[in-house]
Amino acid sequence: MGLHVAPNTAEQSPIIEFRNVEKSFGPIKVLDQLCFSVKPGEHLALIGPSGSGKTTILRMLMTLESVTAGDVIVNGVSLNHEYKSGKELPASEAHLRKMRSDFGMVFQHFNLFPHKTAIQNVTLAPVLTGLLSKAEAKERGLKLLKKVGLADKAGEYPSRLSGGQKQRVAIARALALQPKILLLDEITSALDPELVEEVLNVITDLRNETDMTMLLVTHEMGFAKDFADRVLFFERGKIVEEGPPGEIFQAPHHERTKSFLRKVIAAGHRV
Amino acid sequence: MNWSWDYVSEITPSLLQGLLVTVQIALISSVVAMVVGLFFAIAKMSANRWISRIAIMVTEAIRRTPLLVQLYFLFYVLPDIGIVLSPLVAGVAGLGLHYGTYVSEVYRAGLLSVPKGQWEAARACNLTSSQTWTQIILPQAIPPMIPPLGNYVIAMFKETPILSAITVLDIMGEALAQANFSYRYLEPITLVAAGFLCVSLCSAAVIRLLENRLNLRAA
Amino acid sequence: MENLEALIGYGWYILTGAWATVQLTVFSCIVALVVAMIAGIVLTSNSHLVRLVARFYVEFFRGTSVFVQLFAAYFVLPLVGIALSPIQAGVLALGLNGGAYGAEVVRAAINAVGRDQREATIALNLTRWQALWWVILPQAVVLMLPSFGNLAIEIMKGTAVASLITVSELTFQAETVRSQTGDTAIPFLLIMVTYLAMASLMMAFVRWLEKLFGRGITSKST
Repeated sequence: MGLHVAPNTAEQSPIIEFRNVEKSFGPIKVLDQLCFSVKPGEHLALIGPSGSGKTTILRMLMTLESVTAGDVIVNGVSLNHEYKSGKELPASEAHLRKMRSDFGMVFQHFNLFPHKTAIQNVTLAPVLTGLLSKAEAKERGLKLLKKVGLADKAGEYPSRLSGGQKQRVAIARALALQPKILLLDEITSALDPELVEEVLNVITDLRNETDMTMLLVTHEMGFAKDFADRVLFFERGKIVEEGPPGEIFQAPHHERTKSFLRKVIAAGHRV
Repeated sequence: MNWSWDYVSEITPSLLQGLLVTVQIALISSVVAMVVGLFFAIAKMSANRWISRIAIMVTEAIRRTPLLVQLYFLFYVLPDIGIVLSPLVAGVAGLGLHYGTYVSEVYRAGLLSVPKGQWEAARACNLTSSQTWTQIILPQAIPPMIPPLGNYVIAMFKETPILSAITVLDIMGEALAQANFSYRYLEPITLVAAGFLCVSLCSAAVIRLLENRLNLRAA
Repeated sequence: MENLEALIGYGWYILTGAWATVQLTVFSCIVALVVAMIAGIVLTSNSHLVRLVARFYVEFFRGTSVFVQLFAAYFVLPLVGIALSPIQAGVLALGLNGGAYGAEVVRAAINAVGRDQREATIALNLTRWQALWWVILPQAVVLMLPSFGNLAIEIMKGTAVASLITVSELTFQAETVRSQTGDTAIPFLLIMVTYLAMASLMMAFVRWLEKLFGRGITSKST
């Protein structure tokens, strides 16, 4: 797969914007004065050593973490604040729920509901959030399971699925809410090596067939290269270098980026 | 409802006397339970399947029938076969036996919590079996047993009022005696409840402290 | 032969107490279950105030012996204008006491359902109550069941104490027979066997429930 040019990369208002975002866990600063933006339909790969803050970014967007300082703007609306009669207030649960409806997330450890079958995992949220009727949800759920190659496993409980199958169900579950932005958090890290490909193939199809904005945190450099329109390299809560994958992987400017990639290659990851 | 402080001060001495008896019973019963529990635990873990099966049946039967009935049994039935126990002895024996079955599970769980690899490592180091027990197994098995044992001591303390049914004059026995005498239930029972609440909250705090210490050491 | 007839006569008399024991057990368990669920969920709430109220209830009822509570329900509540029948007093005391212990079970089980599951419900934009009802509780119930089974048996055992506030249940009937006939072994053995049978039935019921609720979960979590 060659370089893929994102549609309309020209001047366009960003769908996501991080403005001087800081995040601390106790004394540890995970994100430091972070600024970047994402255009609609862009495919972004976030790479860097463990603990560099990549995952925190996705978790913030999903409102699983709050910001310590700064602001995250989604579609021109602040994620962490709301404005009522001119006053800035911390976001209410109602505001957060409205903001969340743009996002879908796939977790490293799948987080499937063990007491629900594959199809029930997929249909639960669309029905409960009032997006679809039961019948519509079932229809869409089966379509999605078919798309991820698991039409025949619809009635199985997660405990009877392989890791790769679980993660594909989790992808279908995230898609069922028709998010505009899909967050993929180290989705292959918990998988046995031989199961990685079946999951990445699903993501590649999604990338090529939909206009979803996608943010990918990964240690699979080979996949990041094929997937991304733009790569951000993080270290210690800061963006050290960013650019198109060809540049970052073949001719990185920054010494840190070079040494990180050397280590990754030494560890046996294909670039 | 009218609360009378005069009456309170009148009955307080005998209730305190009863509280002392209650605490004594709880402590002695705890010792009995820990010894009885040890025998039950050894029998349950016996390699002889008949012994372990019978031990499990006996302990389950004791656990699943009311303590009060067991006390009546010790107090009223045993004299028929020539064993006459004083109320206090019957009470302590009943409590100890009943909670011994719970305690045996604590022992068993504690021992089973020591990984099998520890036994194998001890054998690989060529330790004798008594060295294995005293140096390797027990030091690891005993700390996790302490909080649940403490909780059972508190539980026994809270069960001692039942002994008043076989005429033991513990705090509840004293309170009921006072109440029967004066037909006033409000003050005696309120005082007993307050006494229990006080002692069990304090002891629960002590156990939590112990637990935290043990956790710190494990971490 | 006379002896045997007498035995059958009072044996039947004792067993009529089983009905009261069953009533006490079933109603107390229902009260305990409902209260435990409410208090246990409240104990995991974000609001300090409501958590404090639940914590107070739990500590109060765990801290003051069920025996004392039973006597308070029967002898003290009438003094404040709440007159209860012996059975009602028994159900109230046993139910609230069991509920306090059960609340801790519910709280622990809810907390034992991993953070992963909670985060998945946020990512799927469910409300807190939807998450609790559809995702957290169905998994927590499986974790609660073994402890609830033990708790139900503790409540059943507690019903014997209700004999002391004149509920004519098994122990009360046996004690009446003892004081009137002087026979000791047979009455008490008879009720012990009856209690044992009830406890075993309850255990079997809980096992069945565990299987029912355990679909998809038990192989992993137990």
